[in-house]
Amino acid sequence: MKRSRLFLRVLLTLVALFGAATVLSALLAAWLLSDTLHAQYRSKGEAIAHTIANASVDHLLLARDAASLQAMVDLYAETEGVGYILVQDRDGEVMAHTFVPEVPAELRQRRKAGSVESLRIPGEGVYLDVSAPILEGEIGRVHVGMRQDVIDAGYWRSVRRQSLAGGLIGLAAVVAAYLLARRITRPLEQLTAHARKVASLEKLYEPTSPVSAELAPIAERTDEIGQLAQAFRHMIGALTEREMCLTWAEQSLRLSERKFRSLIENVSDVVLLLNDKGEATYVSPSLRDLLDFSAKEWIDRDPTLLIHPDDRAAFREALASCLPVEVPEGSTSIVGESASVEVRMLRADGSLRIVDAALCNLRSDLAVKGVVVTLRDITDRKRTVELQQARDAAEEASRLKSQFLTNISHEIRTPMHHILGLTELALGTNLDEEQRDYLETTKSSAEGLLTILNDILDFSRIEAGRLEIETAPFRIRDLVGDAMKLMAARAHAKGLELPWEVSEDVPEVVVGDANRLRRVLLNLVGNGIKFTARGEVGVVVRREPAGTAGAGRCALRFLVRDTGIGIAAEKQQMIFEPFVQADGTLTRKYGGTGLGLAIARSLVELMGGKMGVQSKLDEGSVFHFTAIVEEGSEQDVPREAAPSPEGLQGLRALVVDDNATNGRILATLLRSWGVEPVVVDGGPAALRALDEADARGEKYQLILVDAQMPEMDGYTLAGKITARLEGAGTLVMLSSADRAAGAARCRELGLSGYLTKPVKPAELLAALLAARAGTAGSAGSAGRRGRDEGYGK
Amino acid sequence: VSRCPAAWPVALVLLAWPAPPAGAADEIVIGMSAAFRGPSRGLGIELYRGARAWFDEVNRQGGVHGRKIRLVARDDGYDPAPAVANTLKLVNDDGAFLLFGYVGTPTTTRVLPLLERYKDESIYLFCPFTGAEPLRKGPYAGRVFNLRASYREETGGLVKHFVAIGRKRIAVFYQIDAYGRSGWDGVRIALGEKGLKMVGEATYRRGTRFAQSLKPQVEILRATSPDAIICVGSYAACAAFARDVRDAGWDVPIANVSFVGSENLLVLLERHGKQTSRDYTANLINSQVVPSYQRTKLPAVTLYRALMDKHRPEPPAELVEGTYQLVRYSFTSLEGFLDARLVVEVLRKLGKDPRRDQLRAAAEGLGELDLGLEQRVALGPARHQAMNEVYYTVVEKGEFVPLPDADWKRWRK
Repeated sequence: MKRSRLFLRVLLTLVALFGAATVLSALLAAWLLSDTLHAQYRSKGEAIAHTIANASVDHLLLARDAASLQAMVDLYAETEGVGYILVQDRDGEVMAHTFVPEVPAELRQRRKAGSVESLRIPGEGVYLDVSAPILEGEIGRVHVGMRQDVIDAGYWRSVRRQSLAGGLIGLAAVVAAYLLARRITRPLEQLTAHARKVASLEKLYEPTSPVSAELAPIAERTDEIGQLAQAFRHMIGALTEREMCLTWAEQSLRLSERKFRSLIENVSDVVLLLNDKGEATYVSPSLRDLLDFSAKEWIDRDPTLLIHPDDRAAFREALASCLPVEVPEGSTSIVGESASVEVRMLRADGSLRIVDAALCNLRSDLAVKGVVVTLRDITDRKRTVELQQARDAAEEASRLKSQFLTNISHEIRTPMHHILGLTELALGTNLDEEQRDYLETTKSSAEGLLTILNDILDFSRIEAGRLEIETAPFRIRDLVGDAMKLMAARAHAKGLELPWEVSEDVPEVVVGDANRLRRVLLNLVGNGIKFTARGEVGVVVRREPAGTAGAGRCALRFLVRDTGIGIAAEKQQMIFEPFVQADGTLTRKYGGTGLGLAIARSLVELMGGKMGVQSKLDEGSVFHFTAIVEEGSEQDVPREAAPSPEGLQGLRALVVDDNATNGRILATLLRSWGVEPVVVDGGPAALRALDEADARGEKYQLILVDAQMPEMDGYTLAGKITARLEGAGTLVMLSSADRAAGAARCRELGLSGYLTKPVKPAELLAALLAARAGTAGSAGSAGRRGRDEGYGK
Repeated sequence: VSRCPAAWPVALVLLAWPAPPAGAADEIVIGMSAAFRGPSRGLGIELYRGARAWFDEVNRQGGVHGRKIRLVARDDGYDPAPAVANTLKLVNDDGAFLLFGYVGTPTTTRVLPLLERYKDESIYLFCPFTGAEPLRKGPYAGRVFNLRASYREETGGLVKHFVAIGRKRIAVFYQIDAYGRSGWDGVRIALGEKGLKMVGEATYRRGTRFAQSLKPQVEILRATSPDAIICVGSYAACAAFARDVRDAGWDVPIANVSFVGSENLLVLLERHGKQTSRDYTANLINSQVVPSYQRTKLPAVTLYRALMDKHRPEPPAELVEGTYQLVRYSFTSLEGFLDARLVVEVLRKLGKDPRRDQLRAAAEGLGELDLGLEQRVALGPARHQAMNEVYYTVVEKGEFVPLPDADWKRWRK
């Protein structure tokens, strides 16, 4: 880690201070010690000198034994610091000494006593010569030489030790100072480095590693450094916060700007900003879409040039109108004067676009400072309006045509009724065969013409949308029964059965358009009869599963099945188109306008249902459609004294019908009234059944016989039965043939009742009840015809 | 109680150890502190050997009144401080009955106050190997019994002889300590008696070895043009001095005193002479305090030589370091032999039950005694030095031979 200059300076200063202090203190101590040592050695020398001097008295004066003196001198000469000892007698003669090889000349001549002086002896060194007199100098004197080198050595040793100690202390101090300085400067360095880092950062806040986290250890300190670090952290925190706010604001601003720019640049309208000189300072890129010009090209140009020369004046006028007149100083400026003008503008390819130019004066808005012009291409809109007008005109024409058709049809129909009525009347008069034939032909042709007219009328109504659905409560079973009865004559003429049934779950009373429903049903059944040579045309009404239609409503599914020629698969959709039949040739063979199914399907769709067909060539077809109706209540369609089936309860009935469908339908009906039916398919079987019943001792209280049966017809059978039963049972004839003739034969045979097929349940019940009561009658002879709608042929 | 368990056995052993053999009935311990190591070790070793020759013989003959004499030696290296310490150990630890054969003046003079200190226990020093004056005069003289003549007698004799042949300019080369000062003082006094003064003096430090140069001292003395030089030192330094004098081409007569240990001096000079092919033994006069061991007509010398050869005493093995070549006969060992004879006579006089407090009386009551020398020796209350004879010798054919008085005139000036 590179040390900072501050750190080095602090450290060097400390080292220098400590070093200087150490050296100075060592020198001072050594100087003091030098004095002390000097004094110490001097006093030591004096002590030795005086001791020897005192002890020498006896040796010199009494014993005059130099050896003893020498022994003593030797003893003291061993003392540390003593360089030499010399004992002289009063004559100066040396009596003992410690010199090798001889006493130096400097000392041999000395006579002074009681002095202390520094003495240099060549070849020996410097000594501190301390002399002491022996017996006041009367006997001699003693010289003790304290070695200066020892004193110096002591001095220097002391200096060395002091220096060493001082150096060690200084070293310790330096180390301590280093640590202290580092403790101070290192956080400062870190702070500095950190500040530098922060300064170099583009973004202060880093979600992964907060910048200020590095300062945490320093900031934990309680000293000034810690406070500094804390302050620094707070500063960074504040900066970060401010920067975050700034960044956020900047971002929102940018987002907002981008949003508005995006809005402006992505609307199809062209936005222009005009300055005071009328030049565009901004042109949105949609100019390319509008006029196929680059927006950039038109910056700083007069956009008026894009306008058709004839319309430029209008535009300039609009522009001038939205500019306020010069406002006096100090008054409130007028903001947002606006104007709008429709002009033609020139595309790059020279074509024209019609443009709505909206001008808005935003010159006082500091953000805009100009007039904002919005150009909206209204060419297409204009064109659409034109188209709409054309369509409306066409529709009106169509309506008038339909009206005309209706009027015409009506006008045609009135004379047609006259023709029919008069032909009817004429036929009632006495005519010869030829006349009758002509009139018959006239009548049937008129009827055919009327049917065609009705179809055309209906279709035109439907096309014109003038057909409205009525809603009223009605009894669905009555409706189906009436419709079937209406078609019965044609079916029976071709020898076709018309079985029909309505499921029990279908409500008794529903609310809907009974007339339209009947119309559709009649159309389909009529078609069935038309395209079926033999067999039957059956109708089944079921209720679609609950929930298909919604609350309080139910969807009824009608199935009209025939055993006719069938329809090829590829034609199955075509047949619902107007004026189309399965085969062009068929049209000729079977006749018809080809409008029936188209009308039927339109009606079904009007009633919220759908129509379809399932068919196989030569095997028959099943037409089906649905109708949405509301469930009604019994009270809605009051019926006077609805007969109760109670009187039939527990009776046994024999149903004779070669048509299995009819037999099944009758059996179902009878069971619903509490009757126990047995169905047989012909006269012989019926007779056998009666025989078997007789054999068991049972009786059939009710016998229903179909008039038209192979092998043995109903009347023959009825004759045989009445012969056997002798009026014991109630016999009801069901016939699909001419009613008047049938009824007459029944009366002849003494039968209880006579009903025309298809039999409505109410009619059958009434007939059965009447027969049981003993009154034979033709209860169901009423042939309520539909109102005015003709159908089929 | 005990911090160290090992202390107990040690303590028990110490308690069980017999008391110092001072009071042992069958022996007399004689304590000796001398130089057995260092430059002057030849003196201590030879003195010890001579003494052992007689003690061994006495012990061989049954001892003194049945008591064997045991000579306990300690080394002081010719230094005063160990000598003092040794003395305390000899008296207190070794149970020395008396002290004997101390070598050297600086050592012995330092021990003297101790003897005074143990005055009540009657510690006496017999026959120290020094001629220093404090052992003969002064406050401590009463505690010492000497055999040999004093340095003053030796130096006085030398001065007398030199002056007699006209060599009046006498210089002194001496060891700068009590010993050297003692000899120096002797020369000074002898010259003073003749009205003369020494012409020059030079010193050397005790412990100087033969290998060291003493040329400065030679130069100092030569500058004073002396007629003769009297050396008061140890053999190593004196041999070195003689070598440097002769190497300087100076043939001045050099005299050494008895302490020098003549045979040791001779060994060094002859060995050096062989290396340099020079004769360093000419003009070399050594004064002795015992007769020459060549004088086999003397009964003492005969006995000495016989017993030296018979017992071949070895120096105390524990004290001698390195190799030491034993000297068959020497003035030093002869002195030690004679010292031992004197001490044994004193011990005999103490009777069967020797007591220290009777020692002084026994020694002082010894009177004249014939040790087989030319003169009888004698001790008495006023005479604590048994002999006064000084013998002069020169080297001839590698041996010290007696120098008759008549032969001095060969150096007449």
